[in-house]
Amino acid sequence: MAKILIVDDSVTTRIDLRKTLEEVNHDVIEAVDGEDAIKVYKQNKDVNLVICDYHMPKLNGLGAVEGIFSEAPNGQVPCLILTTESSAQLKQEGRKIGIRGWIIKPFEKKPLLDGVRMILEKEAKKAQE
Amino acid sequence: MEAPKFEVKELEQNFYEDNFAFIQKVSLECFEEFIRPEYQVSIKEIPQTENFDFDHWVCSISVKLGWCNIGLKLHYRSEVVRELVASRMKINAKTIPEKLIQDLVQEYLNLMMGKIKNKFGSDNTIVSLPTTKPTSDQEDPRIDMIDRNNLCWQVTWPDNCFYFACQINLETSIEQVQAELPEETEVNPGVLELF
Repeated sequence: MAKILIVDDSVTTRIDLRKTLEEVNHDVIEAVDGEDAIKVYKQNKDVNLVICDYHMPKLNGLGAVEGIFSEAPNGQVPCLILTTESSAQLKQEGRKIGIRGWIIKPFEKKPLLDGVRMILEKEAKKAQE
Repeated sequence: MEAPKFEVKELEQNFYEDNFAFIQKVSLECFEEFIRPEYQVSIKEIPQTENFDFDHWVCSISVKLGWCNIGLKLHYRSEVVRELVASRMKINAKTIPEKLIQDLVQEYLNLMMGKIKNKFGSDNTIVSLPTTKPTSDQEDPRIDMIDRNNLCWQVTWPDNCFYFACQINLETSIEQVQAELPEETEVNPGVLELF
């Protein structure tokens, strides 16, 4: 099972995400805004996946992900954005910096868990090659 | 030739009415999708002749779309939301901290504003983070119920003593609407789009 960093300023969403991910035995750690996400990642570089909100105090989701990438050993960690934002322009920006996927809130368990599984399997395959 | 003024007013009125109907629908949809109540929720219009009932707390969020500014406010009592949180998370109501109560309402408004932005086109927008304040400290003047760009309504659930009181303010003009209203894009909440 994977170690997943969830980043959201909403405690309700963090509780929902934690519950959903722990049901399938993932190890979940949390950050409460964009700056905190970078701080938490620095102390947990073994994170396998980041699920990050976009609109947050201090630093938005894409800024947080860029900060995490700059700290990552190979410059990349799989990241998903979970947000109310559906802007094509923002998605394009996300794609450019290396975001793996985009989910519009509110999330549903099955598509979220399917997506997480797909990304983790792809990563595992890459690591074996 | 310039159109007669009353026609412009009628178009503007239609714009507000159509979008108020949409936003009321969104308030119900988000309640059902996010709060996940075990009972039927409904909309109760507040007649323009009635005073709007302010509650202890008000949560606000706003968005600037360029051609239109939208402000949403939700008035509520802690004990009402405490019961919602307890039922949603299956936890004891007495153990729920105030922070979690405020957060549920803020995230609900955030989801509502997300759906509203999706309808109106959401590139180059400025969105505020939701904020919660005690209503009494705000000295917020009661809105003028006869303003056509304001609407108040309640999202209510059984026995009608519990409700969220919602307030929307749309600021635009029909000239801006006709010039800049973007095409609606299809959005599928909950669906993962892989890059």
